[in-house]
Amino acid sequence: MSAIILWRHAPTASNVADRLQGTLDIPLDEAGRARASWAATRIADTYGPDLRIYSSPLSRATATAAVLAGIVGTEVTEDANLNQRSYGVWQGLTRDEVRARWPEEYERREQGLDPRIPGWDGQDAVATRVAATVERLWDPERPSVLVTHGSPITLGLLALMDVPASSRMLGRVPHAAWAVVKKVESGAWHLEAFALGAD
Amino acid sequence: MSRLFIVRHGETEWNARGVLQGASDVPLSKAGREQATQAAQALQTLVAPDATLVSSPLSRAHDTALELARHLGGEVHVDDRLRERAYGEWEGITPEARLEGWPDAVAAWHEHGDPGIAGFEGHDDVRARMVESLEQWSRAAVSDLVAFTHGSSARMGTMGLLGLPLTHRTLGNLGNAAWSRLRRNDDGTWTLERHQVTVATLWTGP
Repeated sequence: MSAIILWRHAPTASNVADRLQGTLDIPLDEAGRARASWAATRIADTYGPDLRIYSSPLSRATATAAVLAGIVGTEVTEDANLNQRSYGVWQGLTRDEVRARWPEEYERREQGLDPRIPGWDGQDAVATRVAATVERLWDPERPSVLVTHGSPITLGLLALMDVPASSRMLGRVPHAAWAVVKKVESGAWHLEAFALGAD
Repeated sequence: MSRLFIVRHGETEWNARGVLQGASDVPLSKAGREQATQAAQALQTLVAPDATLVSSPLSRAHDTALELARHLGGEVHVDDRLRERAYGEWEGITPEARLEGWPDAVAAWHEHGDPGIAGFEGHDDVRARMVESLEQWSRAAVSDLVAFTHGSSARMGTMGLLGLPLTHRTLGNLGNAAWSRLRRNDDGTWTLERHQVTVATLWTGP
């Protein structure tokens, strides 16, 4: 049974400090690798060993992907379309700092809207990029694991389900957790599972 | 913030054979009772201690709910609106017999969900009663609501709360003793936060 597994990278020290990373390249630490290993074992048990692995080029994603690749004995293919969105001038700041300095734009973000700040990757562009990547990598014969980031997973899934990117119907996948989608004969996508490997 | 856990019952002998149950009251199998116990042990750590529990009257769901009630120490309310979709003539027969006897109806069922056979409860009816029940109980609950129900009716109810059209399947059916978690937002809309969680994929570490 084929599937696309969208796996969010394991947590980094910046995630733990609630600092926005965006396209900044923050490596995985030991705790993150342990978390990735726990999830990878479960993904491999369900879908391996005949699966393909693609990853965002950021090291927190490739290091997460490498743990699974080591278990199933395959290579990781990097795909820039799985990159995190840019958070523009917010990158490197904590959530509290952003809330204090841009209260209005932070509130827009909380409401599911794009903040109006320099360098921010808009939600429609992210949704379209990720959905097109999932469509391209879908193989009815073999499952694929796509290691990526929080926003790309939620926004990509909304686009695949034909729901506007501003919708609040889908939450966020926690770190090291995954979602599963399948394409059926009609061409529609089914969300089989969301945020597995979390609490 | 109001959370809603939607839990599908544990396995029955009919589930194991791929036979539709619908309104038929089929008890949990031995494996199903074990699933219910394991799910209850996990859910006990996830839901608020004063969570409200409500169940379909069918024994496979109600017995799954009683396991969690035993762990939490509360009672299980029963709401007939949480029952499984009625499958009419298709209840109790094997998938092979269904395909042999009703080839056109099976094709229509796979195409758009309505086979047009006697006694089959349509999408809109199932969605309406499920959404009404889940909204009502979640508004009345002092904390979390845990609703014990069935594969097809859980999907109709969840898609209804999320505002998804029923033209496609869009959400996969819950497996036996698997659950979804939703959150009600300030504006009355719902957000799907978990779907298809089981004991095997539950992170219990720090």
